[in-house]
Formats: sequence, C-alpha cells, structure tokens
Amino acid sequence: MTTSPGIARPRVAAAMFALLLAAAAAVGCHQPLKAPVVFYLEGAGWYTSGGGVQRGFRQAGYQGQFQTYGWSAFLGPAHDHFVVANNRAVANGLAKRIEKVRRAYPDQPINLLALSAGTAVALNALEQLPDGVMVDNVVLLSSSVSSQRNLTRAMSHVRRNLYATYSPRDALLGALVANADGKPGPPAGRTGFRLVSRTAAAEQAYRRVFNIPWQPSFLAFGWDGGHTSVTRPDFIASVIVPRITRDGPFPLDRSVVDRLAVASASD
Amino acid sequence: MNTRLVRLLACFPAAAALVLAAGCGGNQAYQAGVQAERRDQPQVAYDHYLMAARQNPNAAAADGLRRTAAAAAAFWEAEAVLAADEGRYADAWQMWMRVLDIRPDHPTAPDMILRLEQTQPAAIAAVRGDYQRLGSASLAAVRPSGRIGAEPPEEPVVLAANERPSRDRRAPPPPDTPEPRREAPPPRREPPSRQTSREQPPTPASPPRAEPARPEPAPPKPARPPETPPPSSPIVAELDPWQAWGGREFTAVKTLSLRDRRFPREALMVDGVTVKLRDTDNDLEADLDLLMNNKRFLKIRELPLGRSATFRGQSGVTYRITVLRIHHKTRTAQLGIKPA
Repeated sequence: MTTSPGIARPRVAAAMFALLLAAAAAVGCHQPLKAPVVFYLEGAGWYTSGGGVQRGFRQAGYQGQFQTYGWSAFLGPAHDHFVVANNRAVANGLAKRIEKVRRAYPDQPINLLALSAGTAVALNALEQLPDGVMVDNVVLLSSSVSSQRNLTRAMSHVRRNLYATYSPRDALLGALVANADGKPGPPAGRTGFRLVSRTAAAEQAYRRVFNIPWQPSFLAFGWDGGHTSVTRPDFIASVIVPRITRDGPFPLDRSVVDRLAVASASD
Repeated sequence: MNTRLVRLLACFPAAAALVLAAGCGGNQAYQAGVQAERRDQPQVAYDHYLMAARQNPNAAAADGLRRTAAAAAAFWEAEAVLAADEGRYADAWQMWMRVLDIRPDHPTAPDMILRLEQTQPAAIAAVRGDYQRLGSASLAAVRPSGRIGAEPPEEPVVLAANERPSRDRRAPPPPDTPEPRREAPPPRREPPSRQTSREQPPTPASPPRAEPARPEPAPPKPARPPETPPPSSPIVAELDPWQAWGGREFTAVKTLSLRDRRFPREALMVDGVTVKLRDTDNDLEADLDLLMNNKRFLKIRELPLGRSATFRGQSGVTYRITVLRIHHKTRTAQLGIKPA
C-alpha cells in the first residue's frame, strides 16, 4: 500500500521542523560565552525588556557580549514570581554560567542586571557562587525582592557595586501580595534596600550598595517611575552604564550606609 | 431636601477645584518653562520643567526636559569653570554636580568633581555635607554668576525668521565684524593627543603656516555695562535666536537647520569659513561640511553632541567647532566656534 501525498507532506514538514528546532538549539543554546559580558534577567512572565537594555548598552558604547539568561517557566507571570524566581535550581544554572565565564576570563568585566522577579534569581545565583568567583557590578531594576533582604552574602561575590533602582510610583510592586523571594517587608523596587544587620561585615557590604531613587529628571531618559519603563534605552545608557563602566566612584551616589549615618546624625 | 444629597453636591465643586489646582500647578510650571525657553534661558527652563515633572510627570514635561537638558548642563558647566577660575570652589563643586545631575553621562563632570574633592577638600566640605544630607535638593541653592548668558554685541545681528542667507555663499560678513588683527603670536603647535578619531586635522586653505596665529583680544569698550565684559576676540559674537550662549566661551554661535525654516542650512561662521549642515541622527551626531570660497575643504561626519573638530580659517588661525545642541526631529544643530 502506498502512502498518499496528502499524508506524506505533513510528516515531511514535521521532520523538517524538528530538524530546524534541533539546529536552532545547537546554535542558540551553545553560543560561546566571552567576556566582557553582561548577563540580563527578564522579569516574570512574557514581557521582554532585554532588547531595550541591550540597546542602551550599545548606545553608551558597550561592545562586549550581552546575554539574556532565560529563567521563566512560560506558565505566566504569577507562576514565575511566586514559584520559579525563588527556585535554587534555576539560580544554580546562572551561577554555573557565571563561574564558567569567570574561570575563562579572570580579569574581564562581568556585569549582572535583572528586572523585577529576575532580581531574586540574580541574588540567589550570587549566593551560590563558589568562593572567589566574583562579578563586577550588579544592577537590580524595580526589584520585587524584599527591601529587608540581607545582601551581605551576595555582596561577597561582587567586586564593585550593587545598584538598585526604586520608585514609590511603581504601582505594580505596590499591588504585590508577596515578594519574589518570599521575605517580608516592602519590595526593594518601591523603597530601596535597607541595612538590616549592623554587623561589621554587613556594613562593609552595604557601603557598596547604592539605591537609585526615581527623580523627575529621569523623565528625560524615559523612566517615568513605572515598573518597566526603567529599562528604556536612554535611561540605561545615560544613568546606569556610566556608573558601572566608570573606574572610580560616581559622585552622585550615596551608599545605604552613608544615608543611614546621615539619618542617624539628624535624629 | 435630603441633607445628605445636598452635602454631597456641595463637596463636588470643592473636589473639582482641588483636582484642577493640582493639575494647574504642573501646568503653570510647564508654561513658565516655555516662557524661559523663549527668553533663551535653557537652565531656567530646565528647572521649571523639573518642577512640572515633579507635580505631573507627563510627556510634555519629559519633552521639555529633553529639549533643554543639554543646554542647561552646558550652562552650568560654563559657570563651574568660571567659579573654579575665580576660586569659588564650593560653587564650582555644586555646579559640576548639577551638570552631572542633569547629564549623568557627562564625560568630564565626574573627574572634575573628584579633582575638586581631592585638591580643595576644606573649601567644599560644607556643600558636600549638605549633599550627603539632602541629595540633589541641596544643589538648587547654588546661584549662577550672571555672567554666562546672552552677550549682546555692539550691533546685534539677529537672524530674522524668514531670512535664509545661505543661498549666496559669497555673502560678505556682517558689517560689524572687524578684521582680525594678525600679529606675530608665540608659536603654538597642536598636540597630536588632542585630536581624536572624530576630530579632523586642520586643513589649510592658503599656503600653510608653521605657527597658527592667535587673534589679539579686543580692547574693552567703556560704553558696555559693567556686568557684560568686553569680547575677548575681535570677531563679534552673534546673538542666536534659538539660544544665546555664554559669550566668553565661543566667539561665534550659529544655529543651522534642515527643516526648521527659522534657520539657514549653512552660514558664514568666521574667518571666511562657511559651515553647512548635512544631517543629524538619533544618536545626536551632526554631519557638517566646511567651505571656503565656495569649495568644501573639510568634511565632518558623525560629530557627537559636545565634541569638537578643528580647522584652519582663511587667515591661518586654527579654530575649534563644537556641536552645542542637536534637535534631531527638526534636523537642527547649534554650533560654536572659538580659536583652538
């Protein structure tokens, strides 16, 4: 019995599609990692902002690699935020990738950026890095982890600084019932990170943690204080990249410890 | 009549008035910004738009901030340089911080601030402490000197809205432009490190001279008001209707545009050199042609905002042309020229 052309064509098409998928996987998933590299983690759900962030880096003259690390389970933003973001295994994948690049390029910059629930994955990955493996800078955009999360352990794997943007105008974070890391307190994307432990190690670590609050001048760069507009290319190019590519301190920045000292002195 | 209904109806006008007042605050600030732009005060306009954005962060405020940010930052930069020259280090520090606050990607402001902190720590300790306590709000206290801004020439030359002198490249210079004095200057070589990949080496139009001439500064005019210092060059600064610039920094400022009919596409700038705008782009870069005697002698491409290129004029003097401002939507660029 011969197979009619009507049945053969879908089989051929399915086979070609499978072959195409395999080829794409071979090319995409095994893209060789080089440094300098920026790892970027999207927020929960299907919203993609990596293109804008990458454009911002290119606009500012960055010529290294830009890798978007996919962590979403593609089951919706709620599942990503409440289930996947705090999953240690998901963060472990990122940690292994960072370690691989660092071992291959000990002196090249590795920067880590994340948006919203992706910041939970980023911080978990930092905490899982082996001793001595460091990234250069971390930027947490509109973070949905708790503002009271202790960053000391994560900062032990950060060579330079951690920047966290926050805005009281972030309505989406204001509506959250729980943080992505499951810890209590308001989300850091609304209030900035707070120093919760007064140990010497914590104070040392938080001297390199800088909250970047929304201010009206940022409107010129496209960030209107909202949750995702912080990823606009102009904002990334004009406000974020100058801070992480500069060798010395950025004069406008005041660390969490500095602000706390000022607040204490004025009491 | 139902008293509850009466009370509810009575509250409605009060609530409406409150809502209107809240919106009006931002609108008033925005209108003040527009007025300041018309008065060629971009730094004042920027502050008004900032206030408008604080009260009502909408697209209009954002556009106002975008339009005036570069010029406002440049204004405060000029003020900072002046303040540092005069030993007002605290003011200079605050002004550089203002520059960085307006343009966090400013190429030199961070280094200038850190240099002041290292060389003049005592002078800036108080203002630095204020910034640690209050943040950017403390920078609003700094006041400009009043000397950076519109510097009217002896006989103002203002481009009329429908005047487009660019069609005739042989147009003579304005009648109030005196001839530059060519006296023997000290020899000055252009250091090769000052030239970047964007900056073209000066192209001599006449037989090349080994040492470029530097024009002598003009003598002061007693009739000028005391708050307006005399021009430092015999080449008279021209008022530009788009924005008046710090007269001491540039000897000539021109606005060229491909779409805004208020401005020409090319203009005679200085020393027999005509500048023609070819294009601008989204990255705020300008393409320019420099012409002398109707011939292009220098092609400048993708010159970014704030960057410069050098060229040699008809007299042999080397000049620096700087892109001061770009408005890509209307393909408009403002250029400043000064001796290099």
